[in-house]
Amino acid sequence: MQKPDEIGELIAQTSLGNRYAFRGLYERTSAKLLGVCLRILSDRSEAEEVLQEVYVKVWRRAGTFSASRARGITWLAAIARNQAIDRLRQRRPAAEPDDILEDISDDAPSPEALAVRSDQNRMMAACLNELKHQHADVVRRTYLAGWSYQDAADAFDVPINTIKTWIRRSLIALRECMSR
Amino acid sequence: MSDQLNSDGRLLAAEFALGVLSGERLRRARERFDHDIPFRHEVERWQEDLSGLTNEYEAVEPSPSVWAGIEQEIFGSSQTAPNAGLWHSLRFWRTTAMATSLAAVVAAAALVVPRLPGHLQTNPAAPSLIASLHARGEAPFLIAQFQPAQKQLIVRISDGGRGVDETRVPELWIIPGDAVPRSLGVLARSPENKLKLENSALDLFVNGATLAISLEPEGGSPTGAPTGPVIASGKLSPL
Repeated sequence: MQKPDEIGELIAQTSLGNRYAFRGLYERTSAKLLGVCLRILSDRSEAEEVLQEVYVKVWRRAGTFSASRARGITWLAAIARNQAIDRLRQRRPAAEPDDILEDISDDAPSPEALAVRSDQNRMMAACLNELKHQHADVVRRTYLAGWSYQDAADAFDVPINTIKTWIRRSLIALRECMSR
Repeated sequence: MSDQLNSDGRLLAAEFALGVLSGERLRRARERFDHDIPFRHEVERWQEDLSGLTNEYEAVEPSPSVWAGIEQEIFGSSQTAPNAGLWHSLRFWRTTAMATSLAAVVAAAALVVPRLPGHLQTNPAAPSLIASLHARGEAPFLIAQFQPAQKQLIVRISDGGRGVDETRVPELWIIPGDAVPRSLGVLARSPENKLKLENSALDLFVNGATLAISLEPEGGSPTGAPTGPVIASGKLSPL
């Protein structure tokens, strides 16, 4: 049985104009979302600027959240990622990310490190495992850092067409695996 | 739904959710997200699937200036206190989960207070009574003081009583020994409410009577009895 979605409830209350639920939502989720922005942007003050934009968006769009289609934290994290990635793209159109990965096969975390909160996420972790080990790592790192194809190509030091192939094939394989 | 999407659309949705798009392809995906419902649902499906990875993001406390900036931008000023009070917590708003059932409140009221005989004259020497109202298991957040000489009930909200959910109003009830709730009126959204009491109501304020708050539609209960969830209750006792 799905755990009750407290954050989803707070978003629903926020959509009714409840400022206090909105404040409660901020208190429960802002540290996590700042973590998202920081990982993507690396710069603290820029991350906090984006965090502010995120919550203003949350206030304005709370009515579009549907508890039947997403969990609250997922919805929030997606807004934060999109906002931070937007800012990242503006800042450096052709990216040169900080960590160039030469050997990507050794420092990926074990699959168990991918914490799971639901059957759906357990499936994603299992399906990631089915990918070639280095491709799972490519998908994971690219997602967390908000890299574009070019950023990821630079990070893994491969041509952009190679990274596109790896990632597209991985996405297709993941979807196929999760639909089983 | 997503079989309305061809394989290109599904891949674009996956790439969009993953965050790898840039330039023109990103612009197209964004637009499509706004207008193409099956596409949006496919994106959301991917976002949900990938969300397990978000566990790897670490939590970092934001500076206080972030919230101040948010308030300034949305509300034009700072209105909410920096520290979480009862009003800010989900528990206050999860009314169906934590609301005491009216039946339980009424039953408890009936146990304590003997049934009232006929009409009683109000005794000018009647004691002041006070009640702390709280939700089941929570700290009190409303204090009500009955002042018989002034024929009034003063209700104070301990956490400031700022504006609440605009679609519902808190209505105050007294439940004496006969277990029939009587409305004392809708509370205004302010830290203090002074309710003038009718002579007929004064008799109800006895040691052990229960006060309760329910959430009602704008204007108060349409039926004369509580219709919404009871979010707080407490018993009157001598000061």
